[in-house]
Amino acid sequence: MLLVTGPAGAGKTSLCCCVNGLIPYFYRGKLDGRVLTKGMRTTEHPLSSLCYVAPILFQDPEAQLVCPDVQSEIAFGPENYGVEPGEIRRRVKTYVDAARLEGYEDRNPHTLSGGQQQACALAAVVAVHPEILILDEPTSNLDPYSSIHMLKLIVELGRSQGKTMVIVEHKIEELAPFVDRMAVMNKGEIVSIGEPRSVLGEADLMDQIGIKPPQASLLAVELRKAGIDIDSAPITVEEAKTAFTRLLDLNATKTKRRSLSTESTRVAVPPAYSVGRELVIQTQDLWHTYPVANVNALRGVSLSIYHKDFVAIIGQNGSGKTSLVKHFNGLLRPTKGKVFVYGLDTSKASLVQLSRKVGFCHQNPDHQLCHETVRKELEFGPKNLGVPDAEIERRVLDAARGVDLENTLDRDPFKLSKGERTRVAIASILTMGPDVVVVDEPTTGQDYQRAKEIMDLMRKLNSDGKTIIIISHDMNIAAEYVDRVVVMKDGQVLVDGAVRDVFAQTELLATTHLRPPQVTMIAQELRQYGIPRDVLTVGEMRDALTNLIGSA
Amino acid sequence: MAFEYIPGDDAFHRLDPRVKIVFWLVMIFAITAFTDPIFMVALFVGVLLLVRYAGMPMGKVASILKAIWPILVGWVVICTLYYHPRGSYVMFWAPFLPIFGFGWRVPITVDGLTYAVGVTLKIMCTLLILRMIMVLTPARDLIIGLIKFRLPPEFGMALATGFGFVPVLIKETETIREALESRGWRYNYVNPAQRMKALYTKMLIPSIRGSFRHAADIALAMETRGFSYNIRGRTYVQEVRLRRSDYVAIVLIFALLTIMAVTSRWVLGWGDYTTTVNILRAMFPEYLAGLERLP
Repeated sequence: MLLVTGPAGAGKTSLCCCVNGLIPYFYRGKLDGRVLTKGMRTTEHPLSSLCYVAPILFQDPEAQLVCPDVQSEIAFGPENYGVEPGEIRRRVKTYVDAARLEGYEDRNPHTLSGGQQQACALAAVVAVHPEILILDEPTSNLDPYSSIHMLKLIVELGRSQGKTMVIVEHKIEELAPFVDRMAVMNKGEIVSIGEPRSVLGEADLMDQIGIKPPQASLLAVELRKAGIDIDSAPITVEEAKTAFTRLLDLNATKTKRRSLSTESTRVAVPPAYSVGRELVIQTQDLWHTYPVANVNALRGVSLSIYHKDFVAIIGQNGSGKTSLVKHFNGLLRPTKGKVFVYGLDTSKASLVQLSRKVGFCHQNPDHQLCHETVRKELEFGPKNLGVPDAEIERRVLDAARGVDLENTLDRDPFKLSKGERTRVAIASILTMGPDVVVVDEPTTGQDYQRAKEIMDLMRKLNSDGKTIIIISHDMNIAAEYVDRVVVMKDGQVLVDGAVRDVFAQTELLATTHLRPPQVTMIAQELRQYGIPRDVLTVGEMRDALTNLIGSA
Repeated sequence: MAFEYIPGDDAFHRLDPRVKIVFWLVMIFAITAFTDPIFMVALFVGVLLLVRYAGMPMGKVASILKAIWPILVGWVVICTLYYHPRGSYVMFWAPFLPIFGFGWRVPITVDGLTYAVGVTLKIMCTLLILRMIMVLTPARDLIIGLIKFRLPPEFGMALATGFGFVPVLIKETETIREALESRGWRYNYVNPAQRMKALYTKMLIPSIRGSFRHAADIALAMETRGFSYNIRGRTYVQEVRLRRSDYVAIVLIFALLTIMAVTSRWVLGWGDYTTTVNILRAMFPEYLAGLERLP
């Protein structure tokens, strides 16, 4: 099992496509050198023969499901390769079970949840019984719960069938403990390859090319820099616990042992949000039922958002996050309860009225962009609102400058990179001059570097006086950037508060299969040594540890 | 999904896909060929019984009717106003309706009303049958059946993928519309022409881009899963062998077709609305005899 990682545009997908002949058969270009897959030179064998040995699973499940029902989907590959029908039926049964899709055999795969879709796509690829499996970001489009399941499924299959696997992933923390080797790519080259621990130990290299190793490894590196000797290279919470416990015990025996109070301490920081500010959005016992499916998407949500809040709404898919924020600009109206935006009851206000106040940016920029140039894209919103031309021009320039896209104003938005398209989509909301900006999953499917760029932009907007609400799956991003976290579960607010307070409640988060950042979990494992249980960043944890060891 | 297949294990579900296709073709033929309200009611009830037997919830049938009843009522009214052949029995003259040929009044005839009811039942039957095909026959059955009827597998796959992508396209259109609305875009003009223009100019670009992207994705996915490996030599997991029950079903279907043809041609006259008018004349001789007839 080989894990391949690297920033966007490093050539990871191109590498995958070379292995099974998609390059040069499907994607043309100049190809030098040679690729041998199971001894077959890829330029001398047809694509379908290469894919028999080494098929590939892509990031977007929707793009890979081609049959009208789950059974046909799994049978499709074996049928193409002429497997005997009785054997195909056995395989369909096996992989429907393995992918936990019992009872969904006759469903259209496109109507399943994202996680189930990807599990179905994986089952369909594995049903061919290939010797090599190539997985290109198999969990990038999934929520945390589904991606944990997906990775488990992949590791299980790899282990039980002894397959060779090449996995491209950004989720190093989750995968590094299971893989044999790890390769880091940058600008079309492999810059480091070897046993995961040794690769992850090259902290400067990782930092330089914008890869985020597990926080446990980062912490070990930081401590080493601070002159504290650590003899292992931890990558998981358990390994970190063992390593740091040993360290702390060693130091503690030198002097008198600290009092082992189980009462955990807290980092003393006052809550940084909401204090004495204007109330901008308020929901009162908000219920929403989708008429066709008759599903209660929201079940009694009462929430207040204040001016200049920087809020992350987190939760699994189907927990009601998107349904909630769609009430803020009037895309949805309450079935029961009330929503007030700047004191205005949304059930009595028009979408146009509300969209002056609250800008909502969809997850996929491609669903939002519909003009030939970036400039027209940015002008569209304010024109609809009837803003005078001179003012529109000023706003377009402002917004373009804000998202760093002044030089692309006359280009076709679809010829820009995905990160740039996301920024165009955000800017096209900003030109409408909203006070509240709601962004649906801005960092999902983006690599660390791009996610960081987008979140830096959000932070800048926030400090310019905008209220920012993001929907996110990424706990580390939330910990690093936002002030306040609202956790949703089954259409209700599970917990709402300052990011530090929310992430300290590991058990509560676990009830909806969410985990706080790794470093927070390590801190909680070590709380009997007096480490605060609401540590949020590697820096805070390093200071806490050096303080303890220094004082010992 | 409204058009999602409902699995079942009754005699209808177990039929060979080819037999199902023949059955649907015969039903569609019958609906096209006959208009008589009595015949249509019989067909409608027959289909309802089959629907019931095959486990499709009656609520789904009701939901179709609920959605389209204004259209049906409108259709009855329009047909009655415009359809009045020679010799029709005039029930009364509706005044103040400028319809060509009768000055400022329109004859409301027994024949016209019967015909209108028949045509409207035809629409209902068509909708019910189309809905039933989707709900009681999985797309894979239709496709394998067509392939067995010598349709090339490439076309079969194209159809299958088409079926599969319907929910994706619906969802995508919805998202695009919401994204436009979030930016203050208005499309709900009263004037239908303006509304269409607003809808198409702005939604078309992202939709078409999306379709092209999907097409490329599907082609890639099919290639990587070996569709072109050996198309003529590919196997089919679904067994399609005609069993005894299938032969019985075929005999029954053709018997049904024969009965329909014979009764409509020789017993009840042509299967148009006149059968019902004749029956009405037999049932209410005095009433109809007292009515004015159109020249």
